[in-house]
Amino acid sequence: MLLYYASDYILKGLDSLTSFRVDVALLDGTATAVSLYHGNYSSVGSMIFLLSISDMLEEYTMQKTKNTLKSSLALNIDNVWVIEEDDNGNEIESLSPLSEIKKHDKIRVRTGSIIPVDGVITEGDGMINESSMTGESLAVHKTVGRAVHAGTVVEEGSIAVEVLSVNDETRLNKIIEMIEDSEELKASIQSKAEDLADSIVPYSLLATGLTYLFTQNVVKALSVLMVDFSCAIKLTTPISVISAMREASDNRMMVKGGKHLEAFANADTIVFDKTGTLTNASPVLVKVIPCGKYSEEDVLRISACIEEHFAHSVATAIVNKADEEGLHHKEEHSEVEYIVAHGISTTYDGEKAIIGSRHFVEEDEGVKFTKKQEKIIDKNVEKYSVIYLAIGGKLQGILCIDDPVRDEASDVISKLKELGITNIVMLTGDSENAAKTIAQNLGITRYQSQVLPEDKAHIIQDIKKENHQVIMVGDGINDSPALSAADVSVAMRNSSDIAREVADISLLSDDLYDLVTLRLLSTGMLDKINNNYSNIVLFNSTLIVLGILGVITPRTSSLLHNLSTMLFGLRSTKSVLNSSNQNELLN
Amino acid sequence: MIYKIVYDKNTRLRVRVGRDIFTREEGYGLFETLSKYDFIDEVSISHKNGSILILYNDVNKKAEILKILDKISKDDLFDGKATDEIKSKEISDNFFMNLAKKILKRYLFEIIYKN
Repeated sequence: MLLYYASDYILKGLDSLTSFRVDVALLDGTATAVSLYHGNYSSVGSMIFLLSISDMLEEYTMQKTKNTLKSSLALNIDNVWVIEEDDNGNEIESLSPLSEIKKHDKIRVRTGSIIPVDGVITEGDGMINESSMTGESLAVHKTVGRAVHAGTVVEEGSIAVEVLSVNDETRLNKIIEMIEDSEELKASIQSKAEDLADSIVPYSLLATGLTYLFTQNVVKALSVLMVDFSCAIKLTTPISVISAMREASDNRMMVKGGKHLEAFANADTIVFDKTGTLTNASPVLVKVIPCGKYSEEDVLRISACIEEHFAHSVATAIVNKADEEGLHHKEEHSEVEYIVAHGISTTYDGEKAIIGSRHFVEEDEGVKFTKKQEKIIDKNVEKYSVIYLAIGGKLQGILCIDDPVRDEASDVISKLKELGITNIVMLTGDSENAAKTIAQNLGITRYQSQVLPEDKAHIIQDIKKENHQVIMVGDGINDSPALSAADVSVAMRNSSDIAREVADISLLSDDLYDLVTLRLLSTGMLDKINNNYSNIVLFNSTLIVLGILGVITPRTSSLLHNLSTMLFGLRSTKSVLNSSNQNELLN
Repeated sequence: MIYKIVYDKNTRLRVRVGRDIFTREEGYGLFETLSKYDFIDEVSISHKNGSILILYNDVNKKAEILKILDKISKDDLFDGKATDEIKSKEISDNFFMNLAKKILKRYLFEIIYKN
């Protein structure tokens, strides 16, 4: 029986030898074969037993994490816009559950939304972000006849897609199945540890040879051979990374790879996009002021009808208010077009209707504001975020959105500073005065007001040029270039599909304290890896010295080495968020 | 479905339908069927020993749950898909089971070897 189990390690060692690889497998195989040859069956038994437990532990942690990652990558889309024909042969769109979509159905996907199926574009065109499939962050222009895949995102445009595969049959699901081999998951510290572990092996073999050469004592040489500390380093580092990722997932944070946790731990700067991150994730529409021929109810109804097509917290606020007021709206407008980070454009009642920021409505679309309208705007702009609705080239109404700063924002910022993120930056489209007040109240070290969405990525790049490691926290479609530009990016819970797609870490709960948790978790993970490394080297070096001096036998040496490897492995699975110091910061 | 109530206290109900009555996949299907009800908080199914554990949130719903179980026939069983939670639980169960087996085997081997 022992020979049967030992042969596995010996064969792996032989495989390494014949492939000219000096690695951990070769060392394990040599130690097993030499021990068997010298009749140290008990040592071999202990070694095989502990090695197999270590393997099981690694496999278990890997499986658990991969299961979590697979579920985080799976599409979480409940409803899709289905295109059907009414009795008169006109196309109408209605929301239907994804589970009811069949092959050859036609669905509509607009700017900022994830394509939920594999299919072919039958109408329209758009810039498709296929980074989830290809890793390429630049969007590809696709039009009629081109194939699109589930999990990719319409960055800009609107497309009708004929469904060819849905749910389990999609390419995304096949990719999720293949994720087990993904190198992307690895933190650079993990790869370094693996290289380090293999690089130690020749020295272990050399030390064994030298011990035999100088002492002519097989027992002492075997004692050295039995101590392979590279395997402990190789084992504990991935376990530490994987455990931290699992712990993140237990805390409702989806981390897309160990390297992102490492980047989060090393960052010294955090950049917040104000709306939806520092402010409440559920802004409320508090006031609708009609400015033209439409009534207050009409302004709200039309705005909700147009905004309903796009997932953003402000759009949700408008749609929710219309629902509360019992204002049901039909699709009375034509095709809607989302102009990224500016607003939405469509045709309503034969006239061009636009809704969005002042910059979009006044400067881009040339809508002139009257003095009376200016007065109303001035009264509200310092207090609220204002959305403008213009129809037929005239301002028809303004919608005042109250977006209060989150209760926990100030405390979170002060805790992040305590944890070494010294540079806290806020980007906002608000006026200078409003931005300054918020920055002072929250203890923000640097802010930029009246930022146009397209400038966010440049600001991140400028901060990086100052040798800062940057975390970007955002939620909107317009945040995606900035999220991509940062060293590590975090998408809030209510983020648009594309923000969640692009971000390295997605928060699943609506709590800014998760950023503190992430910092504690990521720095805790690196501390654990570094501590493990020092302890493993110290412990195993002691074993080697004791072996050379003849204080311990090969059996004891093997037992202590394997036992310590297993204990270091077990220790690596331990939660990093449980220490009292960390709990203090989280409470 | 013929079953025997093996535990019934407060809002926790465990019934046993017997071994090999349903497969692992049919167990997932059964999980989907029972999880649909608002008053059922948690369902745990073991195809190996044919047991169904139901945690519900309203003491008055016990009769309704039993009625649902009564109505399920062999023909109603279908192959379902494991949720991520079930998969996660299965991974943990397998790990601890294999660990226990390995430790037991190791010490049995040691005893046999020494004697």
